[in-house]
Amino acid sequence: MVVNRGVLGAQFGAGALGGALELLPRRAREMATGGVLLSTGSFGTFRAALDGAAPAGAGSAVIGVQLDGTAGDFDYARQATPGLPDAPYYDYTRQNADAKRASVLARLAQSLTPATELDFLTQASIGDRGLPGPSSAITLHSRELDQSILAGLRLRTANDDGAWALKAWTRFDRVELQGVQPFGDCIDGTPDCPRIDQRASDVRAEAEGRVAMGEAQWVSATVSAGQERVHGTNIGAYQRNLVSLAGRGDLTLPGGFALHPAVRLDKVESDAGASPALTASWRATQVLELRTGWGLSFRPPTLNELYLQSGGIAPNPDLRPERAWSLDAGATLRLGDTTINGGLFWSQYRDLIVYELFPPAKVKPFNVGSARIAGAELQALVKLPFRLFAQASYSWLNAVNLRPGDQQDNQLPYRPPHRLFARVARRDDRFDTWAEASFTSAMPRNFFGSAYVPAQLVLNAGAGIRVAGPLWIHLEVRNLLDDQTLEDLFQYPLPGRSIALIARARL
Amino acid sequence: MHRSIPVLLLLAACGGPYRAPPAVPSVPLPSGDALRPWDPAHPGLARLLGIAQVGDRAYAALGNYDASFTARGPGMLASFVPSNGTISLINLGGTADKECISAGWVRPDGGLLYVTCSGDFNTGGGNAVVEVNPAGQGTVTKRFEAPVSPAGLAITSNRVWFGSALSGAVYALDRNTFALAVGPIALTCPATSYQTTNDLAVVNGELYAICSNDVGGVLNRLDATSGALKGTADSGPIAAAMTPTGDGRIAIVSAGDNRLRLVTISQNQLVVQPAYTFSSQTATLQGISALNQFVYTTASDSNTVQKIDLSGSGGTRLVDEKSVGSCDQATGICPGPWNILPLDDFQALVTNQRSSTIVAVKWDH
Repeated sequence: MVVNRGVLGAQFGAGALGGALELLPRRAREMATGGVLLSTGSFGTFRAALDGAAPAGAGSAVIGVQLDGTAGDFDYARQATPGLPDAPYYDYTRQNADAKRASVLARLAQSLTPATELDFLTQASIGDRGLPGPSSAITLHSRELDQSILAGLRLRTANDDGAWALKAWTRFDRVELQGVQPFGDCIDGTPDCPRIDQRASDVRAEAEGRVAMGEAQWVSATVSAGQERVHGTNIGAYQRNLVSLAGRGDLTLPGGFALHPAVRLDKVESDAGASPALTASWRATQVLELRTGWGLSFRPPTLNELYLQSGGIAPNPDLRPERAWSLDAGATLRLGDTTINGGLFWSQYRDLIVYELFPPAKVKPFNVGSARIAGAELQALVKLPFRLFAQASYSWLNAVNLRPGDQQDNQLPYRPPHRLFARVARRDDRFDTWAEASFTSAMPRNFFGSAYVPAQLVLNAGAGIRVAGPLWIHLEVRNLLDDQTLEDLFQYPLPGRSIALIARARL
Repeated sequence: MHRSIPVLLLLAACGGPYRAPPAVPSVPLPSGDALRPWDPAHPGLARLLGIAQVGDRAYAALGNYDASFTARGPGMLASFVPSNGTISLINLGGTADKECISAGWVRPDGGLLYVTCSGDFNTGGGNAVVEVNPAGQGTVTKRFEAPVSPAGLAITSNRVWFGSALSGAVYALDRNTFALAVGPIALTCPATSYQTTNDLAVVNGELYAICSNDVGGVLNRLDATSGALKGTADSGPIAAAMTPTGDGRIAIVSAGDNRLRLVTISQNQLVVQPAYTFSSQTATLQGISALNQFVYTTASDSNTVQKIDLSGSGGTRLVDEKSVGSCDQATGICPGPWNILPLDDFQALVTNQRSSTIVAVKWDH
């Protein structure tokens, strides 16, 4: 996994406003490898995962299979009369929060020539989960069944002078809602409770080329096109075409400087947007590295956000594309066993898409006409004696609604101003222990600054031992304080203390 | 619910706070065939909404739609004496039981009741405003087929005003002929997003109407005969309901920002004061009523009702809050309190829209 920070809409496409995570599939080594994981825990939670990689023909093959499930029947507490000071909490047991999922991933890579590789990747999953609703409006009969499959093909060649790739992929998702209606739930199978069948698909093709321009410069260009479709019960059928052009340069300059100009043009049906960006970095010394970036970004709402009802999320067909103007700057300091990352960011949004509780029991995306999101991040990673490793991070966020009117200058909902995370871990070839604390400050629950999600502190810890050969046994405890009053952003109760026993081995 | 004047008179006559006879804890509601389903195989549920009082009887509007919010029978009024809870039904349906569908708001005036029927959202039929004489078994005396889905209403000596649930507009009926006299009159509304006119009230001979959406809301001050606009003020987002208070102000609950606003009326202006912010866990403010120095509110997603004192020197104060029950852990049905009718300063009746029940609330303070 690669973490990319900054305004990256030009590099990674629409939506990469604050950064992007790249997931790179594992490559097979020269011999077969594999792993297995089994876990069981509180509230009927289990996981079984198996993966393997092996040489195959002129390349390699990777396959992974995973089964997950939970009964989700944890206890939680809530107040019946929250307006009264010191109102008592009453105990409840979460119902209809069970979930099951099966997933499979397979990848086959074959070298056609020493410089050319053909890659095939497919991923599929099937799930069945209850939709229990928020604590104040439970829905015992609502369920969601989903299936999705993705398949992609890539032909890629690379040499010292450049590289090019052709990619094509397609994706299909189906969601069936049972016992769901606009207000509350209903009994699946009864005449007045029709199932809601929704399907989404897309197909894309992309060509990418990268050429060396001398010893210190690269230029790359990408063109992609495709089509997305959705259709389903009560929503009709929609489709839209997407085209994008992108170009990027990588210039290595004397003195440790590097420049990365980029531009991307997106056309999504009738909406179009340009995402130019310029990022620069300077490795001042072996100890200090500085980076800065500027960019415009453009994110059209997804077809799902526009039209599909999924779980507790309601669509909003009136959504407009989100656009932003952003600046960021950061520094990395490496001092022996200590690495410190710091960054500042500032973005001005037009039509920012924000999810808000939509009474009685849904969450719905809305456009905020104008908004500013600024903040700072600080992260420290320290290697300590006795194989201890410590990590701490803090983020400050100032997300302000700038739309003129009653909401102007209010904080945007569901964006906590302060987050603090700390973790200490120790690992050797026999033992593995860790403990972590996560604090999230109180945050607004609406656009008007009149309702808040309370601050939350969660402590987690775990320990593991290698009992034989590659076999490890871990015990993890989450929410050590057993706070049963925790709720997520949309008033869905969260589990109290939970324990998981995990066995894993990697060969 | 504007009952402060008669109660104050009674209070003055008796020399102490008025105490209504104790209400029964819950009022059993009819179901099945008693709700006159159009198809006996698919009966509706009571689905209680507005509630009002005339004399010693309470009258609650029955939406008569099923679990999936599909109308299944005519709109009705459930009539009962709070101290014994025995229900009798007044059918508002008219011809073929389809001239009033989804009865919602109820307002009393001059011994009569006025009810809006918001209609069948699937077929578009059954939009109506009806006048009911509650005497005897109760009869519909006048009926108007509304051109829009009507929401809240307010009564003057010569007009029956109602708002449009799906737009920012009000209409007026001539109270004698029950013919459309004025309207539609476009209200001042938030410029963006949808518009709905949830509630109306008559205060000091003037008409007030709230037009709102999820972004904001506007209280419109109108001439009660012509509908001419006389002024506006902020009502807050998703302004669900309003009521005249015992001290001559207007109280508005806004579900969008969880606030109670008080509007002070003078000759030339309306002064709005955010008077109380409900707890963050209080969700979907729905109804409001007033009696003496108190206002009473319902929150349909947190299943709570509140008693708020407007008379304190330090400002408005939450006196008490009650739960009308939690969601049934076996069926998942939540109460969903919609409207509240204070019987005196110490007890009130609450209509629960989702559980189709009426419960009595007794305040500890």
